[in-house]
Amino acid sequence: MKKCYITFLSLLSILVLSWFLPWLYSIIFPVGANDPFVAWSPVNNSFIITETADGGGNIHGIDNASRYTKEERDSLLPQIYYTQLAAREKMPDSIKGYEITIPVFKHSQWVFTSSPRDINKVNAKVYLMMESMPERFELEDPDVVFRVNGNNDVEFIDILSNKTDLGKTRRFNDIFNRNGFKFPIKSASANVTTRKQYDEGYLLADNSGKLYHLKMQAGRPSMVKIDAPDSIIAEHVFIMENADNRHLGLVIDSQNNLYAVEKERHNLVNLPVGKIDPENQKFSIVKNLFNWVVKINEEDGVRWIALDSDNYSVLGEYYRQYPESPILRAASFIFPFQLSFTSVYDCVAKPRFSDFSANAIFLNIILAAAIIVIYRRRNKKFIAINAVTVLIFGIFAFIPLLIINEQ
Amino acid sequence: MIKALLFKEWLKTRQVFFISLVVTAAVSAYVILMMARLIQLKGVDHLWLIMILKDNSFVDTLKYIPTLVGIAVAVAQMVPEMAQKRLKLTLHLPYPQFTMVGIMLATGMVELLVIYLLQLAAIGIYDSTILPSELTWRVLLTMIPWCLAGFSAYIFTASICLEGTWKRRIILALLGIAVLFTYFAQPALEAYNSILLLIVIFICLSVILPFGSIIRFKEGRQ
Amino acid sequence: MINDTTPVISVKHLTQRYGSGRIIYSDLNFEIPKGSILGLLGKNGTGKTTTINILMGYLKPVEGECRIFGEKITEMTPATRARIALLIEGHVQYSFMTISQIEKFYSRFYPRWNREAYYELMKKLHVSPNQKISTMSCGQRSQVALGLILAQNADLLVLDDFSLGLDPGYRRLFVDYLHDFAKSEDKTVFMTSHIIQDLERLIDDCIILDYGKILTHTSVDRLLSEFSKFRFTTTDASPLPDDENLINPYRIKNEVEVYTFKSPEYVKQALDRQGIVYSSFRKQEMNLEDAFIGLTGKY
Repeated sequence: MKKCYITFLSLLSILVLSWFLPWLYSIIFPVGANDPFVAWSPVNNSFIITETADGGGNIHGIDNASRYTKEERDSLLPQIYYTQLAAREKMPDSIKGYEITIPVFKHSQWVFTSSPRDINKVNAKVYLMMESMPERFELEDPDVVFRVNGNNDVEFIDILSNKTDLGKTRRFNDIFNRNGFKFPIKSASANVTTRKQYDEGYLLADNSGKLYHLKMQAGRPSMVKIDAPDSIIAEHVFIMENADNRHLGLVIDSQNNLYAVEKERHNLVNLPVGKIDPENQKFSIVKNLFNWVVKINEEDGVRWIALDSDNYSVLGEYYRQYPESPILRAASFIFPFQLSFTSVYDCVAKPRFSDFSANAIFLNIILAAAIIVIYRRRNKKFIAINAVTVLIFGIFAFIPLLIINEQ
Repeated sequence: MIKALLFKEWLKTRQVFFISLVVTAAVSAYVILMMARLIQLKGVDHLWLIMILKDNSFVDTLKYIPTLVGIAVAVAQMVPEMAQKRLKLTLHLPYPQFTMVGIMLATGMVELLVIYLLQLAAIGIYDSTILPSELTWRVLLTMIPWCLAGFSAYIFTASICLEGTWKRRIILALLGIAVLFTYFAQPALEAYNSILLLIVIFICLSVILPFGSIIRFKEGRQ
Repeated sequence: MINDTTPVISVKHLTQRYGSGRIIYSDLNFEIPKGSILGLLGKNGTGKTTTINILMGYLKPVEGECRIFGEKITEMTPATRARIALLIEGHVQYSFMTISQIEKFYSRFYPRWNREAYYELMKKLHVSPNQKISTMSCGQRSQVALGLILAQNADLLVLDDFSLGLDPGYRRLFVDYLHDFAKSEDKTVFMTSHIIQDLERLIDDCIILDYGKILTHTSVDRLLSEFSKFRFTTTDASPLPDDENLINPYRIKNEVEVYTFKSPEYVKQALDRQGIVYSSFRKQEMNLEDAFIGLTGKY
């Protein structure tokens, strides 16, 4: 029993230290990188990069050669800095044949962001359903939710009574069946809020990766199957209710391709931005009258792709690698691995071992030799197994084996 | 003999048990009253909306109560044993020593289980009258790790109380704090769903710690 | 197999130190036969409580083997523990229990439990059965602890410093009860106390510990008859006797006292050999405390 106790105590100490020491290190030596603000200029057809690290004073193009003042930048990016231009009366009348005014800019712009944290969250397993055609025109808070029962039908529950709404249940199940919807729901997206101009209900991906648009109008279901080739298996859907009313939402398929759902014809268009893994990568889209700038935070750097807002063709691409951090490099020589329970990529607590580093073997060898010497001096048993433990777990094992001085 | 041992443990802990029960009941009642008040003021639909959209479980006030209860029961149970080395009396009883320590720990943990189950039942029953089962379970699954934290708090406190040397007590306390921290590291709802079983296994394994303290006591590390 | 000649307690080659530091004693050997009432005497820090802790299994010795009723103490079975009554220093008991609760509690564990013995003693205390032990005086608590020991009806009684914190009345009560009990029931008793007077009324045999070793292990009667204290008058300038059999010579002005297991003639010869001029040579009466001091010295 004593052996079990010592083993458990030592292992627990190793685990705790493999979490605590790297955490302490990151607190003492914080590493932070600020991504620049990158926009595409419809005036000179190039990226304009505003560094955020030094108060936004450093503005330049991709090649770094061309540098801009703030005023120059405002003129190059009128779709973003129209307020400043208007204040200085520098607003042009038209760009690229578009007649431009502040309302036109405002109407055509939107921002979309997605983070792994939101994607990987454990959501409530009931779906709030808004009324898309409210009686009084203004949107109201939903009074009904639906759940998926046993993976073959939905059940609508009236919030006020906490009882099944049989009528809605029947009507919605009918429409799900009629459209060949395969339960369970793989991905569902809705913006349940009254602070928007209109409601588009849900964008859904069924179990087979087919896309559906579902909403409730005057208490009755409306469902449209979105036209897409069979090869596209939707994994993640994102509904959008933007002022320009052009797109119903975004879709990422099983191959990590990004698509937009056009509202008019309920069809999918591929956005040629490369692969996006929304479960592990943050991405955002800044859209304006002229272009979309898609930003993808990849493992080693950030990628920006500018698309033409009319035909989605690629206007330009810019990649910036994260600078190598000497702090992280030093850490790789100290810690053979790290343990954490939370992650910025999700809202789930579970043990995760990461940052395995071969560099730490040098320190591990030194510490293992030290433990052999110290244990010999203390006339202790099990020197070999303790040395091997230190060789594997490095500093995380060295400290507890030194302190837990038990025969 | 088992009855006599249970009687001894009950004598030590009954006061703390009832206080814990009252505190837990009072805080649970407070939580339920707050929800009832919100329903009265803004309607039950508002409550549903907040729970689904804002991930509010309305039970956050209860978060640390099981941990405190776990610590309190362990202190009430183990401090009298260690005060004046009374554990010598207990270990001298003509009963297998480790079985006896096992019975002591089991008594404490059953008391905790009763308190935690009552708390979960109170919240679960109330929630189920106003919420769909999905949301009720969401709240309960969020609370279960807090209760498990209570068991860990109990085990670590017991092992600290039964430990005779300050150095090892400090080590156990630091490890205990680190372990408890992990139970509260992720505040999102249902964040621990995937590791509930793992936590239960860990708790079962960690029961070795108070036994280790007893072994050390018997070796004379007091 | 255990028979009547098997010592109740046997200690062989016992060595113990403080942590990894100073040796308390090394190679300690003794046996306690059945029916013996033995006091373990020694100054503070000679390892009395340490020995009891080792014997009861609350301390792992560095070396050596201890057996009680023929059983290794490290592997003592519950049945053997049932035959041993233990009094912890300070009469510690489950103070969160009441007089009647603690009796009920212990009675479940001991097959030979003698309820009457306990309550007979409790009657003398003028306390109600529902009184919590924690609310009692130290003396009353000692009687509760004693009552429990008597009720347990064990074969071996191990008492660690029973006189600690007791006023003379309770000390006397404790000693008398214990003596009657031990004698009438042929119990073996192993005890320590820092008040040796108390022990004198009780014990048959004694082990006197000095730092690191046993000074003597003998019966009290034999010790008092064979160990003597001699006193004589000499001059201020004369040296103290220097003979390995003359123990702890001590001078107060021109009076010198010396202890020995030898005869008066031996002492006189030793003084003569050293050329010490003395007068008024006399043997002095001793009690156990005197003998203890004689053996261990005042310092």
